[in-house]
Amino acid sequence: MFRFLNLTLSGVSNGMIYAAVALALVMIWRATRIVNFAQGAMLMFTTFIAWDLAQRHGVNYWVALVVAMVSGLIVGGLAERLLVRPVETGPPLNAVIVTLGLFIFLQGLAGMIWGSSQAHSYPPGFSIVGYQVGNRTLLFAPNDLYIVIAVALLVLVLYLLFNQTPVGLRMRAAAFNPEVARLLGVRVGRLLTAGWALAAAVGALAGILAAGTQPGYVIPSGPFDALLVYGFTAAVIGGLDSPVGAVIGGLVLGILLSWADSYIDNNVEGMYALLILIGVLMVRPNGLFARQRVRRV
Amino acid sequence: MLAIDDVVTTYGAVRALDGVSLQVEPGTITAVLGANGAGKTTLLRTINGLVRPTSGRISYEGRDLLRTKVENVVQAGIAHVPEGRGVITELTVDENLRLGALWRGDRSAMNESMRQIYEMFPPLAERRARSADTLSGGERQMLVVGRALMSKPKLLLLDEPSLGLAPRITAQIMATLRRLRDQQGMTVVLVEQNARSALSVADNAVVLNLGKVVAQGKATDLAADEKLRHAYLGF
Repeated sequence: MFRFLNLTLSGVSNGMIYAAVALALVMIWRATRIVNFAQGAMLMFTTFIAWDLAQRHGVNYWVALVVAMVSGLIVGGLAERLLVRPVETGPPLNAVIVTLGLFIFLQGLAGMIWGSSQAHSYPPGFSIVGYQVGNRTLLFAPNDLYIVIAVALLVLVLYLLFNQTPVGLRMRAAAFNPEVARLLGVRVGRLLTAGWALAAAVGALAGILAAGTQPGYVIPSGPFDALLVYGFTAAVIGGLDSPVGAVIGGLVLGILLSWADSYIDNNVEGMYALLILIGVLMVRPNGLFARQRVRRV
Repeated sequence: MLAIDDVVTTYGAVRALDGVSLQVEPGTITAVLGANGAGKTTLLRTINGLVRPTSGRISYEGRDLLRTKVENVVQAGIAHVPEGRGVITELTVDENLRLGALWRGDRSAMNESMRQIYEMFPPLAERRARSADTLSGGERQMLVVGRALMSKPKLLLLDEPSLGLAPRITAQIMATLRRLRDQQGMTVVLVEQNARSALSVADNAVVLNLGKVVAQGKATDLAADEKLRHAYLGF
């Protein structure tokens, strides 16, 4: 029972990170109907920037985190303006290929700057020594609590932004019905850029949080690619269109993976994620939280 | 107020508007009539900038509309009422209305406009927190009209407001337009396939066929022209 509790807690902590990646994917999907396959590489790149500052130049953890998120804003905004905008009106596959291209480009660029085979470690925000309960150690440390609180705060801020502010209302209108939004005076182009920028900043936070969970995380290819797969799985579980679904999808995936790793075998974690993905798609092809579309004829 | 001069709009090889000219006087309702594919909707989309004509001029109170971005047209005082499907179904009734006044950036004026709209359309007030998805066809039409009025327009462009609505609801919409003209001096361009109900409120009318103006004049004169009615208006 104690083991079960431990695995669940550890799953919640990982799941919150997947939730943040899933949120980034969902935000971009909602804004531009594109699955951003470059999300993993974008957050890898911003994490490298923060790593460079924190480990090589002795910059404070929190400053590095802010720099990573601001870099995310810039990378995301530029990606939308320079790469996605020109292919927006073409077939959807064009945009997918552009994001794949950006993924390969960023991976190569990071390799050129920081080396492609050397795995670096990123400092966690807080202690990774688990809390003590009686004489037993929980698989849940102050750093895990920090992850849970950070992502929960992020969700709260995004919720308030989208639902309680004029800018959020404009962003939703631009995403749901760009033509009507423009007729109502909404500058749709700008808001789509802002949506991508914001999503990439969310991804950047996820990258920093993930990088601190295990040594040797910071490397151009590998762990961050897996993170994208988990984030994508979480987003699809949640229906790809629903921010609430993304968060719940992330938590469900984190907990299931944590159980499977320990009770079955921890060498094939990626396979479990794909099995869960296939299972969800077979039962609920639109994901668990997709809003039912009622078509009027 | 709105002057359209020899406008040609093409989609590929198709001339959707083929030299259309039209004057809209302030405080009047102008009906744009014609069958499907006559170019009525294209005319509206050309006025608000969603499509750009290949030639011709459109000016509004001396301002060149062809050089105005779509996003800025509403600030010039022109509000577009898309057909009922133009409600944003993912947003609530309240949010749809607020969206109409956001560009004004004045919260108290917005709340005041919102109160007036709910007074004008009581069924919307009962559903203000509900998703616009749950509205009936008639309520959706009220919502798009209300949303356009939220921007305090001087010129209202309506695209087929009667489409898919019961005659009783269509009559209500037409009555609303008449009231807006009589009480607020609103100028209205009303694109309609339902010529009979449009002519019942309009001051002036134009009839389009295959992108060309085939008749133009006082609404009462057009309604009295039996030949025209049979050939183009279907009643």
